[in-house]
Amino acid sequence: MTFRKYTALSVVVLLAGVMSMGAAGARAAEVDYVGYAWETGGIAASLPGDQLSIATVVTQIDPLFQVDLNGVEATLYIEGLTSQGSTVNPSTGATTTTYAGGTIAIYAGAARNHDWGVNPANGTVPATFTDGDLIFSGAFTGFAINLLASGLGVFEGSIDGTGGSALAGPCASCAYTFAGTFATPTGAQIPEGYDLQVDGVLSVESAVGVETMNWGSLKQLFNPGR
Amino acid sequence: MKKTTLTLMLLGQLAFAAGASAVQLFDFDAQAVMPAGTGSAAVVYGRIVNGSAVATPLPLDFAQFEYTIVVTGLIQDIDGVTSLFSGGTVSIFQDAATAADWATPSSFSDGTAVLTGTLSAFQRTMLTTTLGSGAGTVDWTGGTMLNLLAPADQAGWPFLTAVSRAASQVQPGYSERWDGKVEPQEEVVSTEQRSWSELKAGYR
Repeated sequence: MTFRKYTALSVVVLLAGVMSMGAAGARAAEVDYVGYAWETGGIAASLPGDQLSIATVVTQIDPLFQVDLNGVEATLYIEGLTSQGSTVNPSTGATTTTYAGGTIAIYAGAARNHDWGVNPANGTVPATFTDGDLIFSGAFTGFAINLLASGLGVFEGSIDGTGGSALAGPCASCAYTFAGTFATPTGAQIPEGYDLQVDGVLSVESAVGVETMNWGSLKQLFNPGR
Repeated sequence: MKKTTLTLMLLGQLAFAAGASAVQLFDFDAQAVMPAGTGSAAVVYGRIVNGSAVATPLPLDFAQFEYTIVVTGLIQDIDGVTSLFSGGTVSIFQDAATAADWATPSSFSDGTAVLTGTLSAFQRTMLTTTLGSGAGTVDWTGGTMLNLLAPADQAGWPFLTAVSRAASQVQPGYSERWDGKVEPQEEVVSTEQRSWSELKAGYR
């Protein structure tokens, strides 16, 4: 069970609901974010050892995270992604860069102070993207970015959950993120010193134990001696 | 005349004070039905999800209304890893009556059309088996809020989106999830940078 808010009672309720729908599988809790990325040495020629960081603000977040964006600002910050070097796909011309390490974290706080500024890291990055309460933290188990010369690109990463108020405890391979990336040739507004504009989604498995079972099996769970 | 002059001076000061450009965009989360082949049209239904997190280029009231974005008539001309499209129309609706639901596409296109326009030169490139990225250009031509944009600010807005075909990301009945944005080429404000001599020259 990944999210704290689910008690045994709510699991029972969900089980009943799932049975009535005849469906199976946990619902993913999603976070929508927009922001900017930069890499030490520049991302156009990503060299092994370069560090990629991404500072974003959350525009939409699932109620499961118990964050009300009407009252607080939420930010999502990715750092410590270490480039393993790039390869070029000769058929598409796309450059693929893989990364090792890296962490992702969501913070929420009353201060609506996020400010990308220019030429990160700077006085407001990461400071205004890592303040507030830690809602979710994770460690990347894989991350890759694909970029086209046209400026279009996309990244995706798999994540182990490591902490934050929304998690009951660590969880392996329980989160995934993907995002479109847009460099200057696409017309995207990009503050000086950043390489890419980013618009993406983080999905965290709510991992509530939903499965299809009949009433007899459900009752048996609460009458183990019978 | 005295009031006009004073207003211009204040606006001028505001422009000088605003050193760094702000981020403004319409951030959307959408589902797309892609055409079966060339000559057919894609349609896209999405929610504008800025809320209070990121400024919109126009004043939208997310506390009172839901805002949706709809793209129709986007004809696929070339199908491939990079697909090319033409002829799309894009609309942003404001509605307080019906919650948008992807199971009911019409729930995205009810309400008041606050901006309508054309989506041109759209191309979508799939970079992995399930992930891609798309870009085109929007020219706003109508809607109840069009006149809030200066004529010079109405054209050439980049339409940029991530594309996912992963089953976990796509709603029933749709073929792709689009998570993207429409944004002006630069910050949309009623002021612009100008020296005092240039400002005065405009009134002589």
